[in-house]
Amino acid sequence: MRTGTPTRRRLGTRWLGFGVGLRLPHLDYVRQRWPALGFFEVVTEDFMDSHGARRRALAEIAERYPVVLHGLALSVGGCDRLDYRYLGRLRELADEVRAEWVSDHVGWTGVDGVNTHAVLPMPRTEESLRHLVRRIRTVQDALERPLVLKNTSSAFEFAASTLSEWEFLARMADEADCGLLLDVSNVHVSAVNHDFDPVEYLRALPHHRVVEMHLSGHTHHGTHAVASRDTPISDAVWELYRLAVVLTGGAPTVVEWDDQLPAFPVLLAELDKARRHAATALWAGV
Amino acid sequence: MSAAPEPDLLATQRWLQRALLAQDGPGPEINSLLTGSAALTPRQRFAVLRRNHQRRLAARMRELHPALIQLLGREVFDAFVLDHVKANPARSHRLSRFDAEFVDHLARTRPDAQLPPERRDPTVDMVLDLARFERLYNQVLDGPGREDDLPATELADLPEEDWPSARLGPAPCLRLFRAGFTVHEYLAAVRQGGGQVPPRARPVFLALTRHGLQVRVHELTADAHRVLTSLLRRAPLGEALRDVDRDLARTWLRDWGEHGFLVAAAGDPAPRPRAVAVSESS
Repeated sequence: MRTGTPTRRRLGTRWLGFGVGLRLPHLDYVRQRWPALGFFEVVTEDFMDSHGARRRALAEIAERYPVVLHGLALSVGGCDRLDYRYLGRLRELADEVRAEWVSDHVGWTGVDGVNTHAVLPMPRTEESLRHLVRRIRTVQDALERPLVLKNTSSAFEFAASTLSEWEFLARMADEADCGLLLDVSNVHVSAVNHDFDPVEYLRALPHHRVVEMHLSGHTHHGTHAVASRDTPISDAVWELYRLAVVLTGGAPTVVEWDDQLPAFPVLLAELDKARRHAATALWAGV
Repeated sequence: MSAAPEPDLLATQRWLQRALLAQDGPGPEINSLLTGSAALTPRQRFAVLRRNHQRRLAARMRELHPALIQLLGREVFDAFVLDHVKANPARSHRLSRFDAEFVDHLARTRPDAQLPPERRDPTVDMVLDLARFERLYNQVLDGPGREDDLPATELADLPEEDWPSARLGPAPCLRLFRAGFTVHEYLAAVRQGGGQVPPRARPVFLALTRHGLQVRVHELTADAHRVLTSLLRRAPLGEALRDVDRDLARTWLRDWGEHGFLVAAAGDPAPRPRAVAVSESS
């Protein structure tokens, strides 16, 4: 279902350039060097409940850089009630750091009061879609800003799924009127695991809704791939990224690195590569 | 009236969560709920998710316990985390809460728990002291600080006749800790790239505060720790210092004011009663 009024590209969000997913061990480096980059993406839950050093450090960073929030625990696809205390603190943090936008994942983190500390997949069914769309709208009303949701990678497929991942995401974004955080690495990993064409995936998305893109390293294990986020970005992902840049016209891009976290300059070097690939893509159209 | 049928989505989520957290993983129903790939069965594909979940959670916990990992090795630390996940599924998105329960879980499941304290393995005590200390260190780092409070530097000048009625305000971030091992020296060494020598066995009495983005750890004497503990419990100054030499008491008060252990209410230089920070010690 497409809305009658055309949606502004990237939901009208600002072009922030190229940024890094800020991890806690890099806080001191950033505050000592103030590296040149477009913006920082911070993990919401790393700061939301802090009353001390972390929160103060983030406030200092937000004085100097645009900040976007990326959460793990919204559980927008979950079947437990939405946690309005969480939403209240999320909104408070977003206001405090003047977050350009707030993102989380398409998925859920727990049910019956449990929190698995992981984002888990949903079967891609009409029921799941209705459930997600309803909750996304509620969250957006509570936050009074658009929600941007990221595609996850998956190791398995539910037998009950009736929609392709790209069809599911496109309908979710259009029907809920939300943004997409396109994780290009996750598209590649899922394409390996589920044997689909990642180009078809990228072409089918509503490109004007892609507010941000993520890039990270992954690991091939022969029989499957894992979004390990502990290695440099692969050539296969750079190739997909160039296509994504052409299709979307470019979106603010974040390099993520979680495990085996290297020194901050390694992330900056990956970010330079992203800038070059994006420029090449926009210049040459590939 | 019969109950409404459980929606498929809820049933699916309950199944997946059980399969993820249960000791023995999913049952045979997995073959009808998940599909296989050309290379992997449904169970093998699910195992990828399970391993990934465990790896990620252990990685996040490692950020909180650099010294414990140095002491135990990553493999043992990760095994402890996974044992905790299986025994005590988290009910909050807050990793700090999960970590607090992790430290409690380690204490509950120590292998010599059935023995009287004097016959227990001191190495286990060392591990638990270090886990508790790192937990407290993180709590102070992320808790309220003293930036907006005025250090009570004038405490040493408080007339002695006012001591019996004076109740001092502890800094919100002040925490006290006691251990049987030099865990504070070990954590400092690990943070500087060392930590090859394990903590030494000796009683240590510590005060932790935060200023700016730094946690400061101060080693105290046993007597100073006892007096500060009394003050944290809102004992009047005179009572807390009852058996302490007056000159020594004034030295402590001056030092504690300067270190920011005790604070005066903003805009009022005289120390006054205020909300008490929770005292925590092993």
